This record gives sequence, C-alpha cells and structure tokens, in this order.
Amino acid sequence: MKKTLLVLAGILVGATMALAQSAESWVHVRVVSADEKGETVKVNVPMSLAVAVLPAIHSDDLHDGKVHVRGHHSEDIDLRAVLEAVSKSPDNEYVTVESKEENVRVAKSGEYILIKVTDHKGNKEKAEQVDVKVPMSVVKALLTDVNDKDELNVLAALEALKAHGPLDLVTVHDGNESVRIWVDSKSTAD
Amino acid sequence: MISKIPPVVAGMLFLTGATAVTGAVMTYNAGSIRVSVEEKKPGGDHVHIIVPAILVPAAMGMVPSKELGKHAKEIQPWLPAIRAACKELERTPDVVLVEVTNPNEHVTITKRGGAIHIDVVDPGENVHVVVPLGTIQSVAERLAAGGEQEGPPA
Repeated sequence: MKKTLLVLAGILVGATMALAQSAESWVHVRVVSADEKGETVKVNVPMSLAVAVLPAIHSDDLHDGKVHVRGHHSEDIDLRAVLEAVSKSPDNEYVTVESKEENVRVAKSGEYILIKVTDHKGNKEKAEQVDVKVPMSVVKALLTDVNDKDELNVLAALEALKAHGPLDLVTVHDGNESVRIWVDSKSTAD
Repeated sequence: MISKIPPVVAGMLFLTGATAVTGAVMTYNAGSIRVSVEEKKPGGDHVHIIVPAILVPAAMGMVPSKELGKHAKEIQPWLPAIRAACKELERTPDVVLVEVTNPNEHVTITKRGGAIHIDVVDPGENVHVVVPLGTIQSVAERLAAGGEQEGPPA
C-alpha cells in the first residue's frame, strides 16, 4: 500500500512538473543579417519574466504595464475606437494603402488581425516586407482597464499572448536582413 | 588523546571550525563572481578573478556614499524592475537569453543555475563573467540605498 502511494505521489509530482514546464511561454527574437557582417542575434525571454518586469517599469510613457501612445499622429486617431470597431467587425481587408513607396494592408481574418507592409521606396527588388499577426484576444486585452484613448494595456496583452499559445507575431524581410518574433513553449530558438 | 586537550583550546578549535564551516556554507550559498580574461596573442595575459559574492555588500560599504549617491538616482527608478527580473530569473530554467554571432565575435548571455553568465569570444580574447543573480539584486539595492543616505533625488 505504502509503495503504491509513493508511486502515485511520484507520478503526480512528475505530471505537475511536466505541466508546469509546458505552461511556460517564451518570446523569441531572431535577426539574421546577410550582409558582409553576417550577424545573427537570438533572444529568448520567458513570458513570465516580461509579465513580472513590465509592471515594475515606470518610464516616460510606460507605467504599471500600460503605455501612452504619443506622436505617430495618435492625437488625430482614436486608436481604441478603431481597434474596438475592428474587433466587432466581420472578416475583411479594412485598410489598403498603395503608394510609390509602400503598400499597407490591414485585415481581420478569423481570430487574427493581419498587417502587411511592403516598403519598396521605389525599388521593388529591395522591398522590405513586414508581416504582423496579432490575435484578437490580444487586441481586446490592449484596450482593457485603460484610462484614456491614448493608453494601451501592454501587460494585459502579454497575458493574453501567453494564454494564446504558439504564434508567429512579426516577420520582416528585406534584401539583407530577416527578423522573426514569435511565441512558443520552447526555451530555445532552434 | 582528545581528553588531554585543555577545554579552552578545544572550545577555540570548535569555534574556529564552526566559523570556517559557516563561512564556507554562506559563500557557497551566495556564490562567486568570476571574471576570466584570456588574451589569445602569444604571451598574452590570462586573468582569473574569483570573488565570493558575500564580500560584495561589504566592499560596497567602503565606497563613499557620495559616489554611490551619483548612481543611486539613476538606478532607483529601475530597482523594482531589477528585483522582479532577478526573482523571476531565479525560477526560470537554464537558458541562453541572448546570443550574437558574427564572423569575428560570439557573445552569449546565459542564465545558468542562480547566475548570469556572459561569454565573449573574439579573435583577441576570451572573456567569461559569472555574476550570481542575488549579487545583481544586492548591488542594485545597495546603490539605491546609497542615494537614500544622500537624500531624496531632486
């Protein structure tokens, strides 16, 4: 009987540890440069670290895990109203900007907001392509518990991202460099 | 044989032994700061420094509070973030936090055990630095406390 209990306790501890490990989310950043320097940068940060540290940072525009979006013409745009409207709307391509220098597309597809920016500055061979994929749950979290229209709740967004699971957040490609930011449950990027 | 040792000497021996063991345990728990620089050129310097982390707060106590005060104002706003980061890193599994590789240099910042390891390998030298997480926090706390002695920031 004692032996059985010990074995059961062992299994329980093992399962709890396995669950605890698999529950950890990691944010990875990888920058690979193809120019003559040929530099590769890899950053691996546990999501729990970001969630713990963010509320403790008090700088100009970041307080208690919330950021004030100033500049970037934010005074002209009610960012919250835009995000709120998009979150309630059906799937569609909502923004399309095509110019000589760049094309921008913002679409809602299922539970994601997709942003695609192609910056070719007149030279299509050296175009820079930026793809951003943000879950709607993260967008909604950005708008929760904020006091004014220029404020975004980054901490709540991180928590939502943590709950969402594996995801490619940002990819950037240009002639010389590629950047990837993603979330998964592995502590290493490879 | 033991019965022939006078009680006073036995007591002193016991105290010395106990102090040494306590010191060893405290040093082991606090860890050590290790700095190692190896120049690759022929006849280059090899410098290895190991400082028990437990000595750092004492060493900082010798720094004039005026000097500490200068840095205190800068570090105080970041102290809660440093505390939170150290606490969270303590429970994070061992991991390579940052890795930079180019044809001339390989830099890694790793969390291993209760310490941060920084390794730089370049054509000229290998540098290896280990700082216990507890030391990072304690240095930050000491720096911030230095500012409090100087008075609140203007």
